[in-house]
Amino acid sequence: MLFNSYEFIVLFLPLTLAGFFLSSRLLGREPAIIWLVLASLFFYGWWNPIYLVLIVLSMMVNFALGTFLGMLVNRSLFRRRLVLSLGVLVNLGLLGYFKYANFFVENLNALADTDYNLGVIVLPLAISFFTFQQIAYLADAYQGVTSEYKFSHYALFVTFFPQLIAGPIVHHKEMLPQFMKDETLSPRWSNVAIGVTIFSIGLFKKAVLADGVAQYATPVFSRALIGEDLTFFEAWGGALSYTFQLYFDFSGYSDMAIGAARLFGIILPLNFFSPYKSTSIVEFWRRWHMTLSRFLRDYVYIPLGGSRYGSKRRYVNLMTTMLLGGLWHGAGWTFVAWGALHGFYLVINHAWNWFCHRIGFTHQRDTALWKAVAWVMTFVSVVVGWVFFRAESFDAALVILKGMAGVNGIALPNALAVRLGGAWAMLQSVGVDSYLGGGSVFIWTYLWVGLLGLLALIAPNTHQFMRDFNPTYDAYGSKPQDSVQPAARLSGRVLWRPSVGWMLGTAILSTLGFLALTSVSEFLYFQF
Amino acid sequence: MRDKTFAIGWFVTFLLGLILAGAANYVIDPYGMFEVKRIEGLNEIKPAAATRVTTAKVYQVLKAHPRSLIVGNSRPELGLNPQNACWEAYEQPVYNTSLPGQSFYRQVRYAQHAMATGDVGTVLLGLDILDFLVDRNRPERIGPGWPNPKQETRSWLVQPDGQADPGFLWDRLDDGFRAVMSVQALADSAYTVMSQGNPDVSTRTALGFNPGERTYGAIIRNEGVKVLFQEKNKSIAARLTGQDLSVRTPGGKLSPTFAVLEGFLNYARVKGVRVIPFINPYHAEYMLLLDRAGLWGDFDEWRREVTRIVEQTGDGPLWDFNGFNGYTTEGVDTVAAKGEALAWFWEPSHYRQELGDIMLSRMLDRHCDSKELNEDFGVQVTQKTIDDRLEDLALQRDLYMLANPNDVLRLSKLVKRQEEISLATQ
Repeated sequence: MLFNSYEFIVLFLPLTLAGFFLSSRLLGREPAIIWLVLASLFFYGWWNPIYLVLIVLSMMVNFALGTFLGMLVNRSLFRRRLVLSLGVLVNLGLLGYFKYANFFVENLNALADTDYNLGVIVLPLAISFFTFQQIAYLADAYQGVTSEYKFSHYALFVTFFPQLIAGPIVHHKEMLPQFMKDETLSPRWSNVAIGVTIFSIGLFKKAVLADGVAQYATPVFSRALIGEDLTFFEAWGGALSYTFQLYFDFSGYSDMAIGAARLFGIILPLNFFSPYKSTSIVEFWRRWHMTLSRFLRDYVYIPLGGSRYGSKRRYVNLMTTMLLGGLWHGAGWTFVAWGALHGFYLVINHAWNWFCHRIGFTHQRDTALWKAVAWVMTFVSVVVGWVFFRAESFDAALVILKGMAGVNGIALPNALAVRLGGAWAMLQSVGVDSYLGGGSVFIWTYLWVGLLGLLALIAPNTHQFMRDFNPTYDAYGSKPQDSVQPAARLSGRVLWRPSVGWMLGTAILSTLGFLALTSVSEFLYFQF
Repeated sequence: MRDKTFAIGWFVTFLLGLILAGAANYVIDPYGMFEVKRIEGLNEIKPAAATRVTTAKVYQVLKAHPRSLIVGNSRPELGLNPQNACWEAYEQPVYNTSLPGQSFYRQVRYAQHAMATGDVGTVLLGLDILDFLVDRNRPERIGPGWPNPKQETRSWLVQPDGQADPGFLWDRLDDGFRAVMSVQALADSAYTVMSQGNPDVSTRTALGFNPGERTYGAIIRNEGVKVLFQEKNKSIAARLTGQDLSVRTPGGKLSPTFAVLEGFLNYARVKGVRVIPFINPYHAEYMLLLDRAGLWGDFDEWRREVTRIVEQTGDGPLWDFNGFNGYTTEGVDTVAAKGEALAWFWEPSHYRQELGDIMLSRMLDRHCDSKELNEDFGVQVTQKTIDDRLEDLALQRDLYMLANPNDVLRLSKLVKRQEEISLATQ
């Protein structure tokens, strides 16, 4: 079931909420938790009930292993490691089969000139997310920081519907204690007010903004796929449209997850912190899909050695982590390229930081001009990365990048050119060409991109304007030099209050978001 | 404000917002689906109608309750005005069900749907070779003939066999809901209100007509008719060369669309509706593009087959408005100045209402207020006369090509370039 659907908003969410609070009042905590688990499984099975078998089996195995690990806390390290390794292998094996088996076989066939065929393997929804979440649970159980003795509680930790499909990726120790609090079992108007506000903003981001700009990204990538040459503005228009589509889609989803959970009195971790304001790639990854970055840092980068064995090893670890991060998003070489590109960016970024410290070039980096240059470089690097992320083939990505580099020339639609008057003659003299048709698409593309760019750069994020009401945990503290803050004073003054203005504003966003549901589209991160 | 007041206030405002938005969309009716009332300065012009015309016409025609229909693709939609003076009172209201970019099967399904409203006595049926061609490279996409339930992606008043379609009520509710409870409709409603004074936005009338001045006026004024011709010629050439087009399937059978024509003519005869079939006129440049793309032979065979089907199944002769004459050979160079349009064509594939008026006066056999040239425009063809007619047209074409070698060269180059592009992208 999609958050951005009538069945979810009109039926599922209100009924689940009512059932949870009613059962907790009439029957107590455990029935309420079981109700929430059953509702979450229904939510998951809505797409395809057969997926339920996999997720329930996966939970049972992981719960058993986690319980066993809990029993082994004071036993030998070897035995605990053995159980943990088994658990990780089982989880990765499952993910590997469903997500990567065909990819592996295709590449094997290409390399060895063989003809193996596994048939169609349908990728179960959310498998990447619930696999990671359960590996994290096993790792936490291994370290003795968490333990769970009730399957219903464990099932709730895995399946709690707001974060089940595409995160935020949470830890057991962050979630279960919240459900165990007495105040969680009774409805609170403050949670309703905060939850509804965050959910509405998320719905608006997804249904109005992300889906609105998507129509200018998709045709450009489709043209690239069939090898059509793209001129400079066409290629940039497509790449930038996707850049903002992805951000508003996924951050919209995360807001809806955070808002929906809050209605139950549950606080989820922050997943986005205005990533497009970053002035470095390191900072970008601290702000983009934060719970995945946290997972990759804690369970891949640090176990690989992190920065403990010198800078060379650190760079290798960074590359490895980002390559795996890329592959996690999808079984395709374009995702590997995207991960490699970001690994490379991070290596360059760390090397540059080291160099700056070495020569004492530090406080100059706080100047407005330096930050502006750093922001442009970061943003362009991210956009280039998204081209690989979105393109359906390597060749298609290269077609777009060639267009963005101006290889196919710079051209404006004729309808626009004739309205430029004297400026057009000047542009022509520097080699700008014109083409027939596509005038309104050009204008709408750049209007959308401009508007969403301004929003992404200027508007405060959910955590900032709701900072007095604990909208999320893991608050993010950034340093001034790490991001650009245009109109910081203005955006700093935007502060949520249960006021008439916010009520009307939230209601208008909800109305527009709800009206946009007539053309439903899936969240981009559901495919990963 | 307390949290409780906030939450309740939000819910009430949210519901009020939905009701207000829905009411605004229903009254302004940006797509012409409900036709509650067109009010000058508010919603008379409907610039967003073009984006939903295939849905809107299904319901608009119910409100129009027509006695006569104009059926076809975008050419009659732009060219034949339901409010032309030629129509007698007993034939009115006339509704133009023609639709851009829809298959011939779809075009006649709209006609069947409109006929099911009850009082339709006359149908002008526009025929176009492009709607009958199949792509021999993609035999899997060549559908069956008539009736063709596989092509039914929506419900109508009647199924192809004339039985009432029980799914129509649900589709009507669903389409109505989507046209009212939609953020795009809200944006389009706002755009509709803001565009009322703008002469450069397109619209559809309540009778399904697409006034060309609004669709093409701004382009002709700002970019010139020459640019418009270049753009259209390029897209026509791309369409003609991007596929392996023919009136026959790879197995040598006729395109199944001929069976659709036959099926519809039979259907109309049983229903007692008079059908007047006609072949849309093309500008000379369009016909040269057909010739340069190697489709003249198919053009001939198509006209021969259509003539046969109409004579055997229909109840009247076929009107053919093609030819190289004063209407179709008007050159763009004669009106090179920006802002000036050709007298009879907007661009190579779409004729103007002025030419449509003459077509109506011919087909309805009445003298209306059309501005006719002293030309032999519009010929009734039968199986007896078709060979002479085809020969005559070929001769006209050859003479035109001899007299206009530069145009032939230009269009030949265009076709060749498009062939190269389509080869490179395959």
